[in-house]
Order: sequence, then C-alpha cells, then structure tokens
Amino acid sequence: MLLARLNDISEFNSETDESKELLSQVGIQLSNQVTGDLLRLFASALKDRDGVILNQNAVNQINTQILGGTGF
Amino acid sequence: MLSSMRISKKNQPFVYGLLGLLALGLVGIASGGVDGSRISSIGKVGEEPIPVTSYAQSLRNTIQNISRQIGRQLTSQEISAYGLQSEALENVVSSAALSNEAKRLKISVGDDLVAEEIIATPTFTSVDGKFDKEAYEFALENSGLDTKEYELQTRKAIARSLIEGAVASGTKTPSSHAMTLIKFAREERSFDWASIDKKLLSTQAINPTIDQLKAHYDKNNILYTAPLSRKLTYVLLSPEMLADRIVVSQSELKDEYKSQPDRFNKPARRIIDRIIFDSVKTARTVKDQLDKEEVSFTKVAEDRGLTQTDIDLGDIEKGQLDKDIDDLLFNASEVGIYGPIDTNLGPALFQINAIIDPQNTSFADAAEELTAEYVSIESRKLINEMITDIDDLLAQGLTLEEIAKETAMELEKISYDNTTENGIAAYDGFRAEALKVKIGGFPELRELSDGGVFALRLDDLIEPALRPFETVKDQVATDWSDSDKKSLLKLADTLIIKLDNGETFESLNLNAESVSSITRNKYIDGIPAQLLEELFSIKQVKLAKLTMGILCC
Repeated sequence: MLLARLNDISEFNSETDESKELLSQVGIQLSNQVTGDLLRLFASALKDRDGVILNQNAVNQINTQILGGTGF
Repeated sequence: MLSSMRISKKNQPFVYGLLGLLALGLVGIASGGVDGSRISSIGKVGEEPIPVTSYAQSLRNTIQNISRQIGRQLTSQEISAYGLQSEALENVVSSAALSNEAKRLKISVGDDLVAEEIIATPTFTSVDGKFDKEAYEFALENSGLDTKEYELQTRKAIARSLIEGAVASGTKTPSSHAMTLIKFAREERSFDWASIDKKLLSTQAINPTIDQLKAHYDKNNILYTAPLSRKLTYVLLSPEMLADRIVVSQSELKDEYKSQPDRFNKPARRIIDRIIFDSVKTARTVKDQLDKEEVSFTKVAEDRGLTQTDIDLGDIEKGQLDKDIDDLLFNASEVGIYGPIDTNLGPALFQINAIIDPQNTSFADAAEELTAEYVSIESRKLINEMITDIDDLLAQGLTLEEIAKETAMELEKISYDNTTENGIAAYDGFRAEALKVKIGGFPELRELSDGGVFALRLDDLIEPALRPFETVKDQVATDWSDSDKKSLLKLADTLIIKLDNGETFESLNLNAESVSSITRNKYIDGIPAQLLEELFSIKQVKLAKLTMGILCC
C-alpha cells in the first residue's frame, strides 16, 4: 500500500523561446492532422454517396503477385 | 497458342482477360466470374474505375516507403500484419472517389498543365535537369503504363489536388488547441510518497497471539464448521474385480476380429475435388494453366460460378468410383491435379487434396483391444449371474460383513459429505443412494453406471459440528492475516487525517521519498502507474492546502 502527498503542480511555462518553438511545431502537426482527417472524411463521404464496388478476387490476385514477388 | 500470348509478365492482366474470354467462348458457361473487362480494374467508385495498375503501384509504393523507413525489405507476413494491403487499397479507392467527384463537378485541366506537371517530375529528367522523353517512356513501360494512360492519370491527379486544396484550405487550428495539448503533456507535479506495510502495524498484530487467533475463530465459527457427514459401510462388486476370473478364448477373439473387417481393415481413401468441363479440349487448356501455376483449382471453379461445396467430393474410398477414375486417383501417390478423364458427367479434372493409405490392423495388434472388450463384457455377464444370489442373501437378512464373506463382493467404509467426490462417491448412483438411506434401513443391491453393483448401510449421521480450534489453527492464522489487510487500510486512513492536520511523513515515522517536477508519462521505479494517474487527476485546491492520494496495491 502506498501513501502519497501531492506537494506542487507546475504548469507549462509558455513564455520561453523553447516553449514558443514547441507550440508552433505542435500547431503545424495539428493542422496537418486536421487536414488529413478532413480529406479522409470527405473521401469517405464521397464513397458512401457514390458507392464503392470492389472485385476482391482481382485485389487478392494482385496481392498474391506482388507479395509473392513476381510482379507484373 | 497460349505461350505465344505470354509476351511478357507485365501483360498478365491482359492475358487473363483474353483467357477469360476464351474460356467463356469454349465452355459457354454464363458466369459472373469470367469477365474480361473486370480484370483491368479492381472495382469502381461511382463511375470512376480503379485501374489494376493504380492499385499495384500504390501497394508497391506503400511497401517501399515502409521498407525504406525500417531499412530493409518487409516479409509478406509483416506486410499483412501492418495491414499495408488495406492501406494501399484505401488510398486508391479514395483517389477514385475524388476523381469521380472531379468528373461530376466537371473539373479538368488543360494539356499545358499536364505537360508542366510531367516535365517537372524528377524521375523523368535527365542529368542536366531537362525533361528526358526516353527516361519518361522507359519508366512508364516498367510500370505497365503507356504514355496516354499516364497522361490521363496525371490529368486526374491534378484535378483531384484542386478539390483537395479546396477541402483542406482554412484548416489552421487555433493556437489554444496546441496549447491545451502541451499543457497536458508538459505539466509537472511534485510529491512525497511512502509505502505502508505490515511492519507499521503493532508487532503483536503481525505475529498474532493464540488469543487473537482464538478470538478470530470464535467470531467466524461458521467458517470452521464441518458439514453434515454420513458414516457408510458398503459392499461393492465391480467388473474389474472379476477380470481375472474371465478366461479369454482365443478362438472367440479371432471370430470377433473376423466379424469386424471394416473396423480393422480400412481401405485406401482420397480427399477429392472435381470440376466437370464441356470438352476435353477446355479441360486440357485449364490443366495446362494449372500446371504452370497461372491459376489455382479454386479459382478455376470460381470462374465457372462453382463454390467449394459444388466441387467437393469429399472422402472417397477405393472402389467407390468408376474403375478408370478409381485407377487414376488411387495409383496417384502424390496430392495434385489429375485428368482430364471422362466421367459420366463429362471430362473432368480431379484435385487430390489428401492421400490416406489403407490401414490394416493384424489380429496380433488388435488382440489387446479385443481382449479388454471381451473381459469387460464377460465380467458384466458374470455380475448379472451373481445378482440373484446376492439378492437372496440380503433378503435372508445377512449383514454386509457376511455378504462380503459369502460372495465376491468387497466391504468398504466411507465418510461421506457434500464435498466427497472420490472413489465410489464419483458415481451418481452411489451418491443418490447415500443421501437416501436411513439408520437401521435395509441394504438393497443397486447398480452403478459401469455395470458394478453395491449395497450400503448408514452407520452414523454426524451433525454439522464446529471443528476444534487445534485442528484448524493454521487456517485461522491465514484467515486472520487476510483480515490484517483491512486494518492496514484503516491505518492508512488514520495517517491521511494526521498528515492533513499538519503532521509530516517524518513525524509519523514514515520513510518517505520525494519526487519532484515529473510529467505524467514518466516511469518511476517502485511507483505503480495507477498512483501517478491518481496524482495527476487531483485538482490543486489551494497551493497552501495539501492534497492526498492513496491507492491500495
């Protein structure tokens, strides 16, 4: 059994140069992720609306050929 | 004819297409599976086809990207485990969806833009940085594309990027978003912690005195009470007891062996699939393809609209099929594809999936098994013959002890309660009878499920009784230290109150360790992850006030 006492909470200091750099990097990453998510959602909405037909046999055949290393 | 068509490997989809048409023409089976046009694409989104080459290219690129990242070639198991096929598929389907949308919105670009894009592609430029037409055509040929197709794909890609640009514009996230995430990840907390163990409880409490244990025993009598128990005496006659009385007759064993030819002599068997064709010619053509491993047997069946159940003949014994087919399949010593051969349904190809050799068990090998069966049957017969005599003796009032002396039955005693399940108590028949008999009752012969017989008498009924302290002392000590954990929890609660009231770890004789400025994703030796989680979930109330976290581990 453990007993612990919380003494201090120190928040992230956003004023240092390093913090500002981190903030801008994370901001860019987030924007990229949001863009990616948006495009995925948009494409998936299009797929739902227009309908996707897949020939699984053909897909499997390509998988076998590429994974088997024979290629086209 | 076929080999002359196989100009190069990259034309395989084309060849398959032709083969499909060929098969359609020759066989004349109308089936959904054989359709030349479907081989050039793997599907479509709306009206937009997804070319085979796009998917193949996407899959290759996906695999190459990952290979480059980890610095070696991926095995096909890894490719499947990472789900790269679905990722590649997802990408081409999404592209097709966007192209379909571009077509719907009538978005297209002019030749100059397409030319610009192609000229700017690094792969197609020569050493001096200029567009190299030969390099361009060579690269395309390697990917199985012609220039026209590639230019079409480029046109589509540019149109797609216009739509993508429109969707993605204005996705700059507010800086508070990033700030919230960073604040969460970078927040630091400092705390003291100490482990509380049994040593902190009074020494007496760790090694309980006899008095403490007796008190626990008195408080929890129900735990130390023996259940209602029956003292039983019974006589038993089981088939095993009579086994050595059975004389095994070799001639009877031989008769038994001869009377079961199916059991001891199993004919050769083959597990077989079969596809019937319209003509020998078609069958030969397909056989050629199968021999070259261009297509699988299952695929051939699928192309003809046949499922596995349609072609499965299952487990065939030698002699079940027509003689010439039988000869073909049973002379084969390896699995594989055989035929074509004429059957009453038409020319057929057979696939042998498994070969099972004939199994002949000689009399000598079967003797042991047959003997055991024989003894079992005969000893049951013997018991049946004895039952009447034993019943008579019981009716005459003989005691179980006397019965054991007079007959082959054996006398035993058992103490039976609701936890007894060994030996004879494993039989349902015995348990039912044991619960039914009364003291002074008249023993009757009953049967057991394996052919044995028994009779029993209830000698004594022992009411549930508290077991003497001395016999359960160890159990009491174990139970007591379990209850010790509860007192540990109580102690922790007391300590928390004291700490809250201004006492320190030191003043309470707790050996505390300090951890300062740690983020939530760190690992600290000796501290379970739950404790950190708990410490990070506490909201700071006031800086002056101490907040306590406690976890039971």
